[in-house]
Amino acid sequence: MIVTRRVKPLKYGGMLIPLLSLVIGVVISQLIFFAVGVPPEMFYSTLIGGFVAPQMLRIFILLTIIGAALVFSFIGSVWNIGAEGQIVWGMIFSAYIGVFIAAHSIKVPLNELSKYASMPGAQILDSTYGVVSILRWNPVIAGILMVLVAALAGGIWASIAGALRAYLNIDEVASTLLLNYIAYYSLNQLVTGPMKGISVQAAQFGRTDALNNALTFSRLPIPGTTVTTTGVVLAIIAFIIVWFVLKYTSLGLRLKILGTNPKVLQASGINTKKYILLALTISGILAGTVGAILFAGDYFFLGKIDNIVSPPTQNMGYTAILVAWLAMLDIRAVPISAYIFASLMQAGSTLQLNLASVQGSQIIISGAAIKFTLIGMVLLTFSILRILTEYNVRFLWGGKK
Amino acid sequence: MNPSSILNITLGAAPAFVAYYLAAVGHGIFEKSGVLNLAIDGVFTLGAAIAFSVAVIYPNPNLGLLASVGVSALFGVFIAFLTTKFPASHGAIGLSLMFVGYGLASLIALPIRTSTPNAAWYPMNNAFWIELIASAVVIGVLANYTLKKTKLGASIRAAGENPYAASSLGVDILRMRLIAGALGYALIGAGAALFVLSYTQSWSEGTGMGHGWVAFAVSLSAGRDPLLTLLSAAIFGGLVNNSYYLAAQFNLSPHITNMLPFIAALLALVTFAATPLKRKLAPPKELGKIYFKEERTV
Repeated sequence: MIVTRRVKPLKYGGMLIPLLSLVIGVVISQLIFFAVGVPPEMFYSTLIGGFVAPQMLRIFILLTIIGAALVFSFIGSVWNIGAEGQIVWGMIFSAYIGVFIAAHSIKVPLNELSKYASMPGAQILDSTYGVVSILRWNPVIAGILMVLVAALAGGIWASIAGALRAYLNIDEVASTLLLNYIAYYSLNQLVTGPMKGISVQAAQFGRTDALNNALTFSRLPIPGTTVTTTGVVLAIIAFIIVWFVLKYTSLGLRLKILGTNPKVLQASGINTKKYILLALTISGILAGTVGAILFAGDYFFLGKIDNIVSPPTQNMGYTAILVAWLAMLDIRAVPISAYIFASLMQAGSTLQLNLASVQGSQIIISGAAIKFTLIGMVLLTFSILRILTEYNVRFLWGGKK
Repeated sequence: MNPSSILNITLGAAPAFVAYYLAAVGHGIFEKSGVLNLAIDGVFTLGAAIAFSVAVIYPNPNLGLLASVGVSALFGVFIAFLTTKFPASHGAIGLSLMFVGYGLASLIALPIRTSTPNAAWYPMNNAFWIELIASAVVIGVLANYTLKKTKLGASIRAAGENPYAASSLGVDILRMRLIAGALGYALIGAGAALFVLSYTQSWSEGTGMGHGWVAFAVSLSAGRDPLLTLLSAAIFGGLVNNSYYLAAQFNLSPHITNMLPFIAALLALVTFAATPLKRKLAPPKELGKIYFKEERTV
């Protein structure tokens, strides 16, 4: 086998390689799932269904935001693998605003409960124990604040890894991953301790009280999906910010050079540390907003993570790595890439439901297993095939050794 | 505190200590050969799942250990081959195999766990723990000797420091990295198997996840040196094993104790990077860089 450098990059390589990796990665995953008993026809029919399922839109919006966030740091060769943790902190802070500041829950005597039923802004969370959520703020202001604090929290969390990389040269892959686990357990600690709600369910399961209905993000009027207007707006903002900064500003140019040739930057007297820190922080800010959307658009309360492989982020922080990489770090391709992986993720959860509904099914397969196998296999195929864009690989049978 | 209880606490930390130690030494050996090892956590999780599954089906913990060692070594060879034979990004290959490891671990062991939650665990007594510590120290000393005093070790280190020069002096880089990958990952697999079969003594989805990164930090904070790793692994093993005593002492919640190893790992990375340790125990020069030698076409 002979590997040589290409004189010119592979024609259409930017499109061909990601698509080919996608197909091969999915087929290998299917073979693995087949080995544990998933019927292939069910796999492929669910897969195709994922591309047209309305609920896929919800994941598509979130993956576009996180994908854009990751492209922003990846383009500077700063590998933010910690979107998971940044989203978790976004959720925690938006939940704090939503459940404790903009509205708060109080315990009332049961005989006064009927008074609250018709009171504007009040919502009975628990009628057996008498817990009522009272709205204190204007919902619009509260919504904006929830997104802003989520962004800030994500940014601060990411800047820890950014500072460690910039000033101590600690590999950000390891530190962001370790920070993810710290974020997961911090969430558990907070929702079972200081943020634990007072309603019966909250006290029993270790979670916060539910968000007041008035504060939940409004949904788009599309049947079968829970996409929020805020999510769509934020996705557009994230996309435009990243596209604009990378294309038209000196910050974008410097980040690109940081990714390809950091020595040039240093030689021209530019502080590379600052740009490493900026890349991670801005990336964390964008990823953090997803926490607010997940909290106020999907969950409405924050629960304890029982199983570390399926946190409330739904592993989207990891899936977005694929979104960014298969878009070849081109922000314009991120929505396409996000659409494909949103469909795959949607198909993954449908597949799990379908498998569970098969009568007398002996197949036990978790949603996380489906996601991780798909992510890993597509990424692995892509990492190998990507060589072909810059190198020429030729196989010589016999002949030379 | 009387001497016998101190001895018990020390020996009780043996499973966690040995699990982290073996995985960290394996990681060190592999990275000494110049391959950036980001797949460690995935293979650690997979190794734990395989060890558990095999120990359920054939009720013998040693078979579980062997299976984990074998499968992990295959992963090591695979990573070494891909990153050396092809000009592929070490980071991308490592990360993708990490996810593959997470996925396969759950696919393989979850059905088995659902029907039988109990495997043939290793015994929990002082005799076994002493045996465990002794074998870990022997492995560590052997690894240290091999890396520093033998021709094989010198070649492995040369492949990490400057593969081009080493290659022109007649070292087969691919072969060295394949050997380092097989040896290193065999140890990571052994660590993973001991983690589940001797330390946690239970498996649920996600067991071992993240602890591969702790082993990564254990190795890095000791500069990938097998003997120094003894110290860092002992600190981590003691901390993790005694976190429940600490929790009871200081009235901490289980979530904080779960978080402790990760905070300690991060602190270990910081301590290593912020002190002169970093200069003394520098990483291999070509660690994680693409090894590409332009070959002449025929």
